[in-house]
Amino acid sequence: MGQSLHVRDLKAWYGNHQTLRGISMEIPENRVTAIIGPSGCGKSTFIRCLNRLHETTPQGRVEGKVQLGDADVYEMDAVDVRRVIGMVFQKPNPFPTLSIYDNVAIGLKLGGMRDKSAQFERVEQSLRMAALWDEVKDRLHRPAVALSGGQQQRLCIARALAVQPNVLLMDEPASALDPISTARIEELVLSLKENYTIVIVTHNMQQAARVADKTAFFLNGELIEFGDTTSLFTRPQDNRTEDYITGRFG
Amino acid sequence: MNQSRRLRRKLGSWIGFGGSWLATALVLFSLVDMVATILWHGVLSFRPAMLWTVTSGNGGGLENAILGTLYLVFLAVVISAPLGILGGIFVSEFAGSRLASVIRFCTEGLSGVPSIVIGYFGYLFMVIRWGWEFSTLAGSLALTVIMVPYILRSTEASLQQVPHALREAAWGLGMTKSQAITRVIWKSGASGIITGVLLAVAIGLGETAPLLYTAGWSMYNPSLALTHHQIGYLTYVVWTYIDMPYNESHALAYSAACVLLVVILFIHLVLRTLVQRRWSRTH
Repeated sequence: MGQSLHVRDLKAWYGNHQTLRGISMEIPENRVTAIIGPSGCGKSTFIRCLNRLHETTPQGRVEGKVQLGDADVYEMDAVDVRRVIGMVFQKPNPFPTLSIYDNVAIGLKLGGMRDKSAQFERVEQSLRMAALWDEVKDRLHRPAVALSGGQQQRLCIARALAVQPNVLLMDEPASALDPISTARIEELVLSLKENYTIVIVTHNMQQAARVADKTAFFLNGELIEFGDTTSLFTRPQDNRTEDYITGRFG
Repeated sequence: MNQSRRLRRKLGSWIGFGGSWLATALVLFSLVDMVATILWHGVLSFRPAMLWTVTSGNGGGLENAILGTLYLVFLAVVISAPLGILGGIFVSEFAGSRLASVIRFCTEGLSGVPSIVIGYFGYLFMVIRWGWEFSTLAGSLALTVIMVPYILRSTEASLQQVPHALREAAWGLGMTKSQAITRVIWKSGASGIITGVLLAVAIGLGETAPLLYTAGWSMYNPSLALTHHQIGYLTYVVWTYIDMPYNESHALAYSAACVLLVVILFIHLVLRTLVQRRWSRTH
């Protein structure tokens, strides 16, 4: 099941450059929350702080508090955090030396699932959830890189789902894909929110409007406005939000 | 105006083109000349019996030298491959940028040291001070010093070529740094690492200077003893016998050079196919 995320006064730096200037927001469980904003506004950095990936970049630094349910993310072991908060990246990045099957199964193997049939079951279930099963069931042991870009991205989603995280972070998951693949990913996001809390970064406002229950608008490392998607797009409270969604900048 | 400009451009292009052709031809010519000379003299002077007789007097065979070279290089690879690969992994994945650049500077310095200096250094320490005398172990360790920087740098370089996105994918899935390396990154860099090891083997096979001071020379087949026994090797035959005033000595030297050349060419052939297979698999 999904879990909620509570973010308190989150600040992040690359070296001396501050990219997040104190973000506080409540991300509800089993909902899709979209983060929108112009390039360089800190939206990617924000979700990379949620699963503690930001600190792996050289000179990356974080302050503030992130809570997953009742657990403080920054007091947990970073590796454990990333098992419960999965991530899908902007560019599809399946493991090129592994087969389709092993790409999905590798997280299970690392998690200690030795039983082959249980493993296979979970791989199939994850590939079905990612709407990829029918396309790959006859070639599970072919290399993952033989798939198309859109299929690779759905494979990455299946890989993230296999370890059954509570939260799924998606960093512009469709921006490298064609419109049909994009549509499939969006359908997928909608179907997944039953079981997961989803945070999706996008600079496509139509996409945010289509998939998200709540939307947050970021600008220059600050959270300008956060609310229900429909009200944010139809009755923005802040002028800067209005300027952005009406296309006056960004 | 336009006309003369076009002419100038064309002329410049021709000069550049001709210059590159000339440079390529010069390099190719000296390579072909060298390989042809060695093969020509080598094939003419080679007798199959050389493979199973040892060196004696001013001629004889190469069995002792071939076995000796294999033994020396085998030991050197066994020591230098783990050191170089683990060192390369450390520099690429674990060392902070400052420590990494210090290590990189040191290995570059080490690979810049003339091999005869490494040989003499090995002589002073291993042969004299530690009392190993001219021996297999002293020779192999001298080769190790030469081979480690190559393996380390090629390991580091091939790991650096593994896209960062792959590391993030692995970390994002909850892998530790070492799990990410053993499960994902290592495999993507493997053929580059193997290439580095094979290149180091080719270099080790062709080294002479460090062995002159450490391995000595023996006309007998190598024993398994690591110290206190001298050992023969192919480059010694090339280096010494070509200077002797006897035809049979020259024949032995050319045959040794030819054997070395064929083995090294074979290694490079394997390297090419490895690289190409890797290329065709990922593209």
